[in-house]
Amino acid sequence: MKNLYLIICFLGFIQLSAQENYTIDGATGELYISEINKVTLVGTNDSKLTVEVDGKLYEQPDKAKGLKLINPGGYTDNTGIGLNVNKDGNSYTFKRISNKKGNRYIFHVPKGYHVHYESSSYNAGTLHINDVEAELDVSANYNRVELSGVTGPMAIHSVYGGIEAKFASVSQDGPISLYSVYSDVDVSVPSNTKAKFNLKVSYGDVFSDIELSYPDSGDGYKHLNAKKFTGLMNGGGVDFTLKSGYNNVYLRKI
Amino acid sequence: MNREEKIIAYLLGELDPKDEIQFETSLQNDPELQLELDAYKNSLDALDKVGNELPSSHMASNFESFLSSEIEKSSTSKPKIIQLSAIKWMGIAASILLAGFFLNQFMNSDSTLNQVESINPEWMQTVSTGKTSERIQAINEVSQETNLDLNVLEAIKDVVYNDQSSNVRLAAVESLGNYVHQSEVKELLIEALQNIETPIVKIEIINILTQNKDEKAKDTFEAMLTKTDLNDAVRNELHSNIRKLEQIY
Repeated sequence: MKNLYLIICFLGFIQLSAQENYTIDGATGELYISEINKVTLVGTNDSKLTVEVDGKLYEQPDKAKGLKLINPGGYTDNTGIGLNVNKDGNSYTFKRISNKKGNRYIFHVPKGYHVHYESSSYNAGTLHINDVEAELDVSANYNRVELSGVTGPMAIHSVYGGIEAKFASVSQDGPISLYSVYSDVDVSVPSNTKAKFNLKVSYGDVFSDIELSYPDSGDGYKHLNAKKFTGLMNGGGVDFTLKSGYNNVYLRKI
Repeated sequence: MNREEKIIAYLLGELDPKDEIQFETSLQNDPELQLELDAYKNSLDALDKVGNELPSSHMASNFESFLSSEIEKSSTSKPKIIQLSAIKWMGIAASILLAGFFLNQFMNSDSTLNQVESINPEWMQTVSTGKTSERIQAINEVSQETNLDLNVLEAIKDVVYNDQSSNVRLAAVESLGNYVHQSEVKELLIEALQNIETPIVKIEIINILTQNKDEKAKDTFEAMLTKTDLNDAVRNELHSNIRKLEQIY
């Protein structure tokens, strides 16, 4: 009898786990994450995209029994994890359906995906991006963005949030751009990185421990403008733009 | 008037009514004349197809200067009268028309904005359908050109308004910042500032216009501040840049 209880409990645990994950088969595709608060992107070698809820899934209040959550977009929870997904070929768009902060969503992203993240919410929290080799396109208003183990190409901006990025290596496949209007941009790259850094600060300064060379601009002169200048690391390489409107840029070697 | 001159005069409608009737009667009785007429007619049609190129004001001005200098030169030298056949005259006329056509292209190419250059189709395809990083890379390549071709400007305008990625739209606006001295670019940026909703793109345009010390910028910024639905960051940027412009002027 005791064993039977254990089996029932185990099956119940499996069922609960199954409800808190959503999976899409396939190692390639376009992933759009739109207006979802508290998101973590993690790279995976799996040939499937998995969305996991970190912690317990948000539960509707007792008063909502017999009712369904409605919103102007008409989105419904068609994933079982509190998100709406729209599929168009191999393009998948995930949207939030509840305004409650809820738990963090962890997207396990195969490297063959291109990830597009967009958020304009005050409650968006920090966007974590760990070990993702997929191409990144991030547009945020309030998020802080923290990246580690990434490679690029990527284009990331946040109006209010700071950006901190630790690169595992720097891909030469396409440009990298990190821009915060009101906060710091703090980037660490391996010491053997080949890059052409475009450094832009309107009201801040640029700090670095990297030996950069400063090319002349083709007219025989070096343009010594401390607000906008180019520095080559190890002779130059991929276009790598670091920009802060009102704060500092920190560029470090690992 | 010999036979060739009569054909040309007929095609140009320059025969008097009596000669015209006589020429048309000859046409009915002389199949060879009809063939010659057709050949001349085809030549004139081909010349028409070269195009009714209207000279630009720049080209017209250059041509007038050229003409004045040539008149001045000709007044100091004796004219030479050359007798040529009608066919030769037509050949010369064709040459002049063709030369005029290519001269127009050449003189326009001297202007600041080259209006006849076509866009590299590969570049256009990348900007339209490439991955985010490829689209940004293509836009960045434009920034390396000295002057912005108007066709390229149209393509970038499309990106500024329609690209699905705000990072690509931002890159497009940043690239336009290198050409803000061109009036078309400045007008596009002012228009986009008022029509585009994305805060980061608006902020970039505000900074470009301020850095360029644009005279219209302050009025545009102040007009925008009257809107109630303005994003906070954009509102702050407008206030901050109005103060900067007040220090400049």
